[in-house]
Amino acid sequence: MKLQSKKIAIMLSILAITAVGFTGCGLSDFSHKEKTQTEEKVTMVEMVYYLPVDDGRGVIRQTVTVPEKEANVTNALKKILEIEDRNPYSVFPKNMKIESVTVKDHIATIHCNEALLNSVNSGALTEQLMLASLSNTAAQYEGIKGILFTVNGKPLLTLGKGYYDLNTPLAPMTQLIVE
Amino acid sequence: MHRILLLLLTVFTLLVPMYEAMAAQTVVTDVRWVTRNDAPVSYVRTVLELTAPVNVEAEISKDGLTTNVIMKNTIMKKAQEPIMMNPKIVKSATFAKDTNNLVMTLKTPHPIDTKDLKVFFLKANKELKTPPRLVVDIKQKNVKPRSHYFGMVAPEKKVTDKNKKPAAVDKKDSKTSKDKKDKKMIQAHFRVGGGLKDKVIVIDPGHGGSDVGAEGADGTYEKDLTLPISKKLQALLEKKGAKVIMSRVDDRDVFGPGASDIEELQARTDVGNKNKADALISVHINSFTNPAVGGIADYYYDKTKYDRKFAQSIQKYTAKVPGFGADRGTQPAGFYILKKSYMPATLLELGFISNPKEVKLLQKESIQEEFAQAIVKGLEDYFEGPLQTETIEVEA
Repeated sequence: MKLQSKKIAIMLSILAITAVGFTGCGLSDFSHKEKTQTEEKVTMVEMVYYLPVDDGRGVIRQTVTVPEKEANVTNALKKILEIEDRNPYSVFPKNMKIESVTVKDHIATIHCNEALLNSVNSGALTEQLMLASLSNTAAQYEGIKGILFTVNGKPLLTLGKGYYDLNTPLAPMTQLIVE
Repeated sequence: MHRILLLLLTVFTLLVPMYEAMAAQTVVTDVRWVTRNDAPVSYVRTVLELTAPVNVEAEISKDGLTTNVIMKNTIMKKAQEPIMMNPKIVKSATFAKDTNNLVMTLKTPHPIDTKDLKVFFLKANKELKTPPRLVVDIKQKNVKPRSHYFGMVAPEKKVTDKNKKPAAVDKKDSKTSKDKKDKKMIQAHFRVGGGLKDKVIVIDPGHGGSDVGAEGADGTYEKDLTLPISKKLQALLEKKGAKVIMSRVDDRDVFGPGASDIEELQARTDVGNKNKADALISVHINSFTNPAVGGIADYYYDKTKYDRKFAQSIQKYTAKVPGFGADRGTQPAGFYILKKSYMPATLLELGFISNPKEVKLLQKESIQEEFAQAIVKGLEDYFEGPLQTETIEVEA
């Protein structure tokens, strides 16, 4: 009998806690929320990235307004892929994903999935604009001066038997930025 | 209780050395092979990528037809099917486990002896990010050595201006003294001025063999357009008295089938470097995702003060070949062959294979001939002026 009363008491307590949690109308809880909202004022900034232009002339500067803490090299590079995914003339291989970006000594290493290897034999201009888009975008953040790639964790030395030497960091291709 | 303790101790004592032995094992992570023709006698090179250096023994059977390469304390990462190789040099390679060792058996069509076999180890290369490798070379038997082959070293050229100061390398590529200490630097020479006659020109028809290059909407491969243009260029240059060396004269990989991407690109670059060429031209056809895009471009890499001038000289004429889109100009680019060659080099993109109109034009012999003539005119412009020999310091 004693045991049964304990069980009932515990269940009632759980119910009471859950009910408060669901309604969320405890006075102290409400005032806490208000305080948080005032303190965490979100500053919005422009996140810069470069997209290839469809006529192949080069890459063009684009911006999107995002919360300040989200304006970083990883998100900017991912934004390119997100937009280019909808472009019928995308220079990026289908299903290419940027897993993460690490920055050390002003060099960004872009860790990609193996879809990047599908850019093999896509042509010099396609390869050039893909790399111009990524290198010029990366150079907008954290003092980045060059980019390297890995695919499935392994360093990528060239895009297949393509054109670019990726064994050493690839500097931003500012000459390909168009208005 | 004592028995259980004793048993546990025994098991532990046995497990520790077993674990150590397993931990010390070298693993073969990849096997590739290639027929190398860049030597007086062709040979089959088998390369095993390893996780660590390995102790190796090689033995040739009495009849000379079987070579066993025994790698001590080594295993394969995954089961390897027998590899069928070149029936004229090495027929096959098979792999078998022999206690703790791995045995690679190579079957040859003709008896070989120790002079025909070379086994050596390559350390991991941090710069190229290559793992430790075991290399086994077996030479072809019963053939005469060739007098000419890809990658042969040309006879020393006459140095016409010994007092000429070395050419300044563009600031962009200047090596700091620290860089020079870290890397082995050598001096390379090339000639400028003095006309086309006797100049060593390397022509690299882009792609070839297993590498088709870009593909046109009509199914045309880039490799099948770069070769005829290059051959026409070769003929015209030879008429003008230039010494032309081609990286390939037919549909083949320059390094050989099964080579890594870097090996293939370096093999093309080596044709220029080993032959001490005065200029290198890599012939390509461009491609883009938008089929409306067209035009002609030349690429260069500012490693000498002549690279840009060289590309501009050629673009001036190739861009005038009628029927193609915009003159896309000369552009700097960190292309492998342009960066790693020891002489002024340019990579030509003669139209777009992805553009239906341009790919049709590129298949016409008359257009191929026009491009070849345009390149020759550009070379003639480039080699105008007094003859001089330039020297640059490059990474070995």
